[in-house]
Amino acid sequence: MSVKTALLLLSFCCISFAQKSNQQKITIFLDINDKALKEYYIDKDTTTAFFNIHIIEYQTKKSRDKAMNEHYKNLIEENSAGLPRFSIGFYVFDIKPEKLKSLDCIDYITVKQFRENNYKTTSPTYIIHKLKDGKYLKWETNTLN
Amino acid sequence: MRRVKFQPSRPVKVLTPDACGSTGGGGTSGSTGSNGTSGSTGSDGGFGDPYGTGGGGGYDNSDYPTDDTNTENYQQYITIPILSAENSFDIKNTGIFYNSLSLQQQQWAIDNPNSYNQIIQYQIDNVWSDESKAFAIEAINSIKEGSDVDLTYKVIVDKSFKDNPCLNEVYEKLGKAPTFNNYLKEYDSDFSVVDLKLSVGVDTQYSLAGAVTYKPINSLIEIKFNPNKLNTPPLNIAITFIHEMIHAETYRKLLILSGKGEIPWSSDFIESIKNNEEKIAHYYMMYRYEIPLGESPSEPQHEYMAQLSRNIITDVMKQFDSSQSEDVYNALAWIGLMGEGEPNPLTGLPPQPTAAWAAIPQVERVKILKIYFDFIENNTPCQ
Repeated sequence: MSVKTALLLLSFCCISFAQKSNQQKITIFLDINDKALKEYYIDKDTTTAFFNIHIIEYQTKKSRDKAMNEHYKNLIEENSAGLPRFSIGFYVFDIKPEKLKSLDCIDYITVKQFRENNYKTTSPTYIIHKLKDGKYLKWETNTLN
Repeated sequence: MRRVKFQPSRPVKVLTPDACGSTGGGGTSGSTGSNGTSGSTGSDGGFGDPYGTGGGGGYDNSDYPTDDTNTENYQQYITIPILSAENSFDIKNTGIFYNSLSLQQQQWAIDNPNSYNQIIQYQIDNVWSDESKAFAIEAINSIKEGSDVDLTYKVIVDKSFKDNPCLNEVYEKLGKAPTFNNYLKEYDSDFSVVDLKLSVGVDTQYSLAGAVTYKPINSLIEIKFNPNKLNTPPLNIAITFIHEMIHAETYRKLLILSGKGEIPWSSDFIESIKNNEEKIAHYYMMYRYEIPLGESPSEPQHEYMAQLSRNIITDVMKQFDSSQSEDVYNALAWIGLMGEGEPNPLTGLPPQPTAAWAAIPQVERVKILKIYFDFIENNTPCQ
């Protein structure tokens, strides 16, 4: 094998690896008006943001109240986890978002798919949402473990 | 025939049924069996168990030791213990234990005599206590499934855990951290009646939790790590380890005080342990059983840890990875102890904060969150 062939092969491998690594990061497209979004916050200088998505079983107040009552009524402690989590928060501190003109070539999932995938996240997980001007913001977020 | 005292410090020779009966016949209980053929072992001598531990006999006849022979010179020829006042208890229990096993467990014992020997020795060392028998059976089941069992610390490392390189690496490294190691030692067979199991899996009710520690069942405490939550730096996973170990330690203390195989959860029980574990009792009464007027119920163990365990968590972190700043250690020590729900990024407060977290100034809480996320951003995930 010539040096040139070996270098080409190496480049191909590197590109494939980079693409694979990038693909492994989850990107969620979020409709800001979706009821699945419990709350969100974006700082004026767009360096701080927070997106809090309901866990589907606990999207209504009634279901959350019921879970809380049952949890605290039970005097037997089954495990260390405490109250089930009602939502999953995505945090951004001191990182500016990327502005996108379109979602072409962006491999993303919807909130519905995110829920179906057992709320699996990556570090980071990207959150994309649409702006009034038709463009998009892409945030690099992380969750509290 | 010479009687040889059974020596508990030596590995117990437990014969497999293959060896059983292939050689000289055994004597009745309390007697020595007849000699086996040269180079072979003796068969059951009285308790009727297939492992031949019920009686003596069956020594190698060649170079048979005489009264003048130095003990050290002929110990190599001893194949099974001979029934005597010193060892009859162990022999009898070995037989009873074997007969209590299922056919599949017995088959495993036959196929894995070395591992089985260690489990028998472990029970001998623990004077055949009920806890050691329960752990031995759990250990056999776990090993059968491909898990590792650390008989020194009474820790069952499930195959699911063993097969996870990230968790294994963190666990190995933590084992060298003195503070964490001290927690493991609490499960040491000499002192503890409680066993620990480490496993990997998703608890569907807590699919967002990094790990869950389950209340003791039959004196076994299980910590299950969530494989979907390992995309975080190893130091963060080390925190999950020590956090869950503190939960396990609390359960262990409660279980020991109960004197039972399971914790009898009630305000009466918690009240009864006040003199032994004053602080644990206080937090359970205050946050679960006797909530003061105007207060809301909360998680007693998280309240306790947020107030009293952060120094321990910090010590373990520093022993695990000494390269971080004090600010990072301080921020990380709060993870899992801020309260229930997602903290608001502006106030730092979750819907149900722990008292300790709510007590620190808002500026400090937000700063801690920022430091945590900066740490996550700038350190490579474990997997």
